[in-house]
Amino acid sequence: MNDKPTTRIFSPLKNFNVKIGLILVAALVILPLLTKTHYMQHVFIMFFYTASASIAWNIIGGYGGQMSLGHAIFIGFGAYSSAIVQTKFNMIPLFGFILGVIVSVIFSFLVFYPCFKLRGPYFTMATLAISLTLLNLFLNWDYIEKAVGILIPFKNTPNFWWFQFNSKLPFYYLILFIFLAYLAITKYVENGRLGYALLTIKQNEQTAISIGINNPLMKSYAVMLSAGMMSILGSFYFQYIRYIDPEIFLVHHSVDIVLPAIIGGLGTVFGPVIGTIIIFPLTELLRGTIGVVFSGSHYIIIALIMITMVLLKPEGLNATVMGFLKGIIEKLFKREAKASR
Amino acid sequence: MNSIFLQVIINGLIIGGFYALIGIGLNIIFGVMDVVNFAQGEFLMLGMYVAYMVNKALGLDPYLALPLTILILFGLGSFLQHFLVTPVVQTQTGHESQIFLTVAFMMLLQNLALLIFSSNYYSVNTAYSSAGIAVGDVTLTYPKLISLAVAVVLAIILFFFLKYTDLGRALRATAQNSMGASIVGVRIKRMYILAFAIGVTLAGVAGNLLVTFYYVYPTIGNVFTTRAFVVVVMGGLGSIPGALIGGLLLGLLETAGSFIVGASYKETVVFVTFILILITRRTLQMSKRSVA
Repeated sequence: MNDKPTTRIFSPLKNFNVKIGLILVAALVILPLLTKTHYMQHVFIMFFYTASASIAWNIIGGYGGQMSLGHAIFIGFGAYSSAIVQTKFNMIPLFGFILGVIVSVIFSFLVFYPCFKLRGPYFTMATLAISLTLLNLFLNWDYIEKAVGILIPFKNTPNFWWFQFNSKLPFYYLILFIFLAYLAITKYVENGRLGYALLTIKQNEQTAISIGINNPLMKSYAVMLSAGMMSILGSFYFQYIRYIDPEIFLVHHSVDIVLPAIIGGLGTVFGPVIGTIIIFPLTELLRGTIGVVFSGSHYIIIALIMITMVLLKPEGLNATVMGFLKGIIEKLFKREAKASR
Repeated sequence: MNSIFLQVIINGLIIGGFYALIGIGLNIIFGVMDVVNFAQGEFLMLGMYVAYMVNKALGLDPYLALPLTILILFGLGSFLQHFLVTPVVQTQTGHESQIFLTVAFMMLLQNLALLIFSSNYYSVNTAYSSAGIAVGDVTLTYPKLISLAVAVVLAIILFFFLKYTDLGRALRATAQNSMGASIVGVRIKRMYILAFAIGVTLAGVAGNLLVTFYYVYPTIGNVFTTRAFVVVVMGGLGSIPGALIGGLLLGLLETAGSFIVGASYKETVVFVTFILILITRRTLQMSKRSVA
């Protein structure tokens, strides 16, 4: 029909992928308005929170190839920073977000830099040990109320600067924004210097060293970035739930973060998202049903899923799902898809 | 004061013996197939529950549960290795898959224990629980003495097995060079099964022996997994004598440390040790390289 050569000027709206992306984002913006129940809105918020956490973990765990089993510690840092800033200094939460990021980035560098200098799975061992140690320290620390945890009462009037609202919608849009920003950061890392350096180290360490890539430093950059992103999520979590206790340092919280990335596919932009879509409804369902009757039983099923995944599909479901989706989209918009090629 | 400190040192050495035992188990598994078993502490927990159940249900002495513990853990270890770990080890490229697999074991065993035994703390009481012999001002209770003696005997048996039997030699050959070992006719897959089974059985035995003077609860494995990590990082991944020395040293450090800074900060003492060792190992490695 249209045989005229199209103009070669780059126009993002003409790009097929960008179009699909914009439609998806628009759908996500409208999504919470379609449901009236607070529970569904809460589920949507927790969905994007989980997905964002997995995306942040993926930068060191997937791209860096360093399995961290202690990433919940940065959520703890973010949450406690926010809590301390508000309860002890009576300052607005924004400072808590900033403090959390600073603490997490410095801590992650100081503690993990030595691990990266050694070969082997020392990093994973260290992350596990650190989360248990912080659990021990925080349980005994008077200043942050020990095991009781910190609770922030709801102020009578909603206040933007104190992150307190009458509805869940502001939280939804904030976490949606964080989620999209984290996807963009991952994409930027993947196509940037850091991403290629990490990929080279993962594929052949000797080559990486010989072409001048500073192995421990690059991994440290990745873990610092990942820790900072985690900390923001921790502060968000605290503002949303308004409660934090040292249980956040338990290992299974960290496994919850890792799981979507493994199921979706390590070291891919959309892997953690796909993993969250698959595993999040299931965990939510199991936690609410059998998890209530028999404590711990839903983690048994999750563990079995983990074992099955590692045995049958260690590379994750990302490629399979993406191929499937592409097929559907191409059928739906046949003409446009062809035109964009 | 002096005698209290002596008591602390003795207690540290005794608990250190058990850290060494699970550390050796971790090291055998790592040495033979390059797998770090993140569920090592959970197999110890399993050994503790076996001994607890035998004592509770049959009224037998927890030490008599030892053959059953060995049987169950050796069987379970062989099963897990053959059907789950070996396929992952043979196809994996990095460490991610095997770490994830053993973490799944950890979660599975921990939550199964939580489901069956609930989160209560249990302990096993025997007629001789608080009895002991006094050497000077230091008291040694019988459970600790007997457990330590059994642990030492088992460690010696293991040492001779690895050093002087054909099977032990084949296992060591696989650890040194699996390709070379398979060329001279060692069946690698069987060695993997043997290594994993021995590794987790050592943890289970340690658990069975510990139950006479230690509480058992579903997440106790976490405590011992981190200890096992520190032990192998101290002695070097893959080195068995290193693990022995590392275990005793860690036991000493931990009890002496918590005696000085307070028992509630025990975990912190252990972790700070861990990081310090990571840093010093780096400098050690560098100095070795500059000598060579």
